[in-house]
Amino acid sequence: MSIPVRIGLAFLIGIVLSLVISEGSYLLLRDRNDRGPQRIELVIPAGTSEKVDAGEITSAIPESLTFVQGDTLVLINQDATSHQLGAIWVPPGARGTLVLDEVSQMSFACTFRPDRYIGIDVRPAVTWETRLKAVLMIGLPTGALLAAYSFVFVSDRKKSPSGSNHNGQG
Amino acid sequence: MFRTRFVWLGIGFLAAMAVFLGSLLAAAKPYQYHGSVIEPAAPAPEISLVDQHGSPFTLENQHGRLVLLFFGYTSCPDVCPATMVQFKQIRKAIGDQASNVQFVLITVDPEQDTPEQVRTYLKGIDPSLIGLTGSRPDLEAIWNEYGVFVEKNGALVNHTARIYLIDPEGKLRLTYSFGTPNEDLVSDVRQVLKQAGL
Repeated sequence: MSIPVRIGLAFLIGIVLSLVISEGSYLLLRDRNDRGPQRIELVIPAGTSEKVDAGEITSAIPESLTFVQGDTLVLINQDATSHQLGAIWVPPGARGTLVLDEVSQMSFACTFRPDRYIGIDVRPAVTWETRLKAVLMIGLPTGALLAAYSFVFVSDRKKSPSGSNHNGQG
Repeated sequence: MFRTRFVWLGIGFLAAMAVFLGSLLAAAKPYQYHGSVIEPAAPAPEISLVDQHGSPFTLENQHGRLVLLFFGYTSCPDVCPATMVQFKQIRKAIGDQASNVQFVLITVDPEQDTPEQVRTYLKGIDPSLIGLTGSRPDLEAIWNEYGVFVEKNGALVNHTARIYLIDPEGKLRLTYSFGTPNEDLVSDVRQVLKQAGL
C-alpha cells in the first residue's frame, strides 16, 4: 500500500471512529437544551398582574428558564398591563421579541413572578458546526496516531524475519 | 490543452455562481434588531411636559422624528449620566441624521428636577438633549404608561434604566436595557430611519 493511501486510510478510520464515539455519546447523553437556536414563545395570560399582586404563583410562568445562544424569546402579553422580563418590555396586547445572543446565567427583573425575579440561563447552542468540530477534534489526532502507528507496525513486520534468528540461539 | 481550459472555465463559472448566490442570500436576510422588538409597534403613550427651557413639549409634535427616551434624574450617580453620555455619543455617531433624532430625558424626581436644574445638568453634558419635568401626578401617569418603576430611597431614586425607541410615526418600536453597546443602538437607529425613508 502506498504511503499517501495509508495516511488517507488512517485519517478516514480516525474520523469514522470519532464520528461513532462523538455522535453516539451526544445522542445518548443529550438533554432537551442540547440543541440549535429556536423561537420560544412565553405567554403572559390575562389577569396575571392581579394574581402576582395577590402573591399567587401563576402556573404558566416557571421559576427559571433555560435557553441556548441564538434563541429568539417572544413574550406575548395578553394581560391588561405592561410586563417586563429583563431587557424585554411589552405593552398590553403586544409581543416583545429578543434574540439571546450572549451566553449568561443571571437573575432578571420580572413583573409576572410573585418574587419579581426570574432566573435565565443562556447556554451555548449545540449546532451541526459544534458537532462537526467535536468529530474533527477527536478524528484528526486519532487519524494522525493511526498513521504513525501504521508506519511503526509495518517497519516492525519488515524487520521481524531477521530478528527471529536471534531467538533460536538462547 | 483544450480540456484543461474547459475545466478551469467550469471552476470559474461555479465560483462566480457561488459568489452571486451568496450575495443574494445575504441581501435577502432581514435586518436583526439588537434591542427588544415590540410587535405590533404600539402607539407611544402621549407625553405632555415642560422642557429645560420652560417650553411645553409634546410627543405628538415629534412626529417625523425618531425619539430615544430615557427616565432618570439629575442627581443620579450612575446609570443616568452614563446614559446621557451615551445619547451624546450616539448623536455624534449618526452625524447628519442627528437632526432626525430627538434624545429625551424624563425625570423620575420632579421635586428636585426643576427646569433650571435640568438645564444646568444637560448643559454640562450636551445642551441639545431634551430634559422634561412636570408635576408628580402628571409624571406618575407617564411612568405608569411606560411601565417605569420609581421608588424614592432617601436622596436617591431607584428606577427603571431602559431606553425606548419611538419611531417617526410615534410608535414604540424597541426597548434597550442599560449597557447596550453604542454601536448596536446606532445601527438600529439608522435602520429605523432608513425604513421611515429618512
